[in-house]
Amino acid sequence: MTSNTRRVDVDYLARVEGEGRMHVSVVDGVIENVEFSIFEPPRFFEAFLEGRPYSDAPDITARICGICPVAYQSSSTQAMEDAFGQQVRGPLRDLRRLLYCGEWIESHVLHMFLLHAPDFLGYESAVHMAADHKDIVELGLRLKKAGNAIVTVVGGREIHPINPKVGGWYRVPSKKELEALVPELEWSLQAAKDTVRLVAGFDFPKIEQDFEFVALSHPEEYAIELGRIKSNKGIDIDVSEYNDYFEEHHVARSNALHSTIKERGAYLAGPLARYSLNFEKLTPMVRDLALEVGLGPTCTNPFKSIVVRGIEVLYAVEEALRLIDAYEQPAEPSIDLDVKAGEGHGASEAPRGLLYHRYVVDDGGRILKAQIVPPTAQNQLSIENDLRTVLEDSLDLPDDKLSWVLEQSIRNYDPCISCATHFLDLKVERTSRKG
Amino acid sequence: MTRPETVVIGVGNAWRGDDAAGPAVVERLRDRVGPGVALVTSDGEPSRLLDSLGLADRVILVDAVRSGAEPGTVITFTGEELPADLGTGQSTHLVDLVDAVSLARVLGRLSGSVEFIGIEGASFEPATPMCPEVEAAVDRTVEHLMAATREAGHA
Repeated sequence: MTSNTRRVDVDYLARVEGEGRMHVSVVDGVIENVEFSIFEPPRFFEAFLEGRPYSDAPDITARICGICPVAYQSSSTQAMEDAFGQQVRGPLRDLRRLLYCGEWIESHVLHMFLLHAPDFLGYESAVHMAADHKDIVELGLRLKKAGNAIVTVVGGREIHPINPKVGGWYRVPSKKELEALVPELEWSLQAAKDTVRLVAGFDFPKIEQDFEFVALSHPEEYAIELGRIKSNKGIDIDVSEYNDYFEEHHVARSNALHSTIKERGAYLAGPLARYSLNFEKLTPMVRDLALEVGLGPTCTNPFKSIVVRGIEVLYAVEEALRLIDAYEQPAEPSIDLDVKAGEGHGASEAPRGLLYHRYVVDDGGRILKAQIVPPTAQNQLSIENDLRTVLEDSLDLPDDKLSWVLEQSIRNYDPCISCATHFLDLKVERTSRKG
Repeated sequence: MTRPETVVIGVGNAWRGDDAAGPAVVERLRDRVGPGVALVTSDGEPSRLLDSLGLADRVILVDAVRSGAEPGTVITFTGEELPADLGTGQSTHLVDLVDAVSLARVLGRLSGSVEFIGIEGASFEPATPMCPEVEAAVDRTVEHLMAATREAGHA
């Protein structure tokens, strides 16, 4: 072999995309400071997009995240169409929603089974959990595959779908191709119900937060890829008004930006926000199960996000089956674009929450300005607030147990592989000024 | 379709500087190996990685590493030499290769041997190319793997 050295104590790079850090300082038993910061690749991509043709936006932004490429494609294509004063409707739009259902299933199930459930069942990791609960892990892996299959058939391939484009699709699937997905989705319907009942039985820390929930909302459906931006404290705006109501702050301690509602502060995007704002838009079957397992029409306990993710998986499976049943293959895979200078806005509900894109293009469709606000940036302040609340209840714990519960709190937000932490540098500093 | 004897999995992000090393090795092998060798690239997403680990009896994982060694240094070890402590306490994600391999073992999806090839990277900045030392290490690794699969009669 060509090796120059041989060592086993290497720090596996694995995925470098996410690097994060959490620093807690406790002085004389009182929390003095809580800082959570993450590295955010989207910031880089904004600059990278400028000068490129409009058609590059969905392909390039999809590379930001290996877990939620569909979200990036959906927000970017809609923003470009908006810049040209156009909209994609009918089956072309339904296919976007179907593709998005696949991504919700994949992403939520991955997080629930391999990352979050071990916290609740008392295991250090999915590896340790799998030794005792192989059946649970296998259930999750099969359910996730049902989501993968949708993304493969509609998106053109499993990772970084290649079919979506500004104006629609490069290629649309036939009805028959979609119908092949049905048997496994029918199995998934029951599997998702079992999953909801399983995770609803976990023990949850009793923490309720006074969140300002922010999510897309649509009059006729549980908003995924289309809607107005709403909050439970009075915001009800068109996506194009995003920058009038929200702002981003540079935070000195990291290269990340924190988003806040102007003159109000922290807010929460993601499953809890969507569920609490749009409960009535879930189907009766999904609503009934949510109530049966003890979720009210709103959920303010961040630890119960795992149950809400289960509910959204069930909804996504049912919605995918409905969309496939109603699908009629369109004659053309995309609309004709009227490329012109303008500014466009697009937003969709990535698995982790609202994902906002804005582009300014010139008359040839060249990107002059790109703005991408990922959900994890929007939730950073809420994550810090949660950590503070959890800390107040847990200060008596030894450092290792304290670290565990703090990490679990961060995992409530499903910080994604690209947008959040992998090698989380977690430091709890306890000092005394006395004596 | 017959089951391949070997699967080479290149893990990494082609858009992040030297993290592209793993996928680059796989791409450079693509036109050179026969049907006995399956080639897969992975972004580290664990459930797909699990599926890839079960593709063949002999698994070769190639990834960029960051150990403080000189850029382009290539290290290898086999599954048995992996640190027993998975170290997941520091991670909020199961994206560590060691975890994925361990999970595949627990679930009975690994039937044979696992070899790791780590290529020391220097920079992982988004949308930058691999550095010359890593480029050279990728080529050396490709030649090594060609020789190894020829030896085993899979090429």
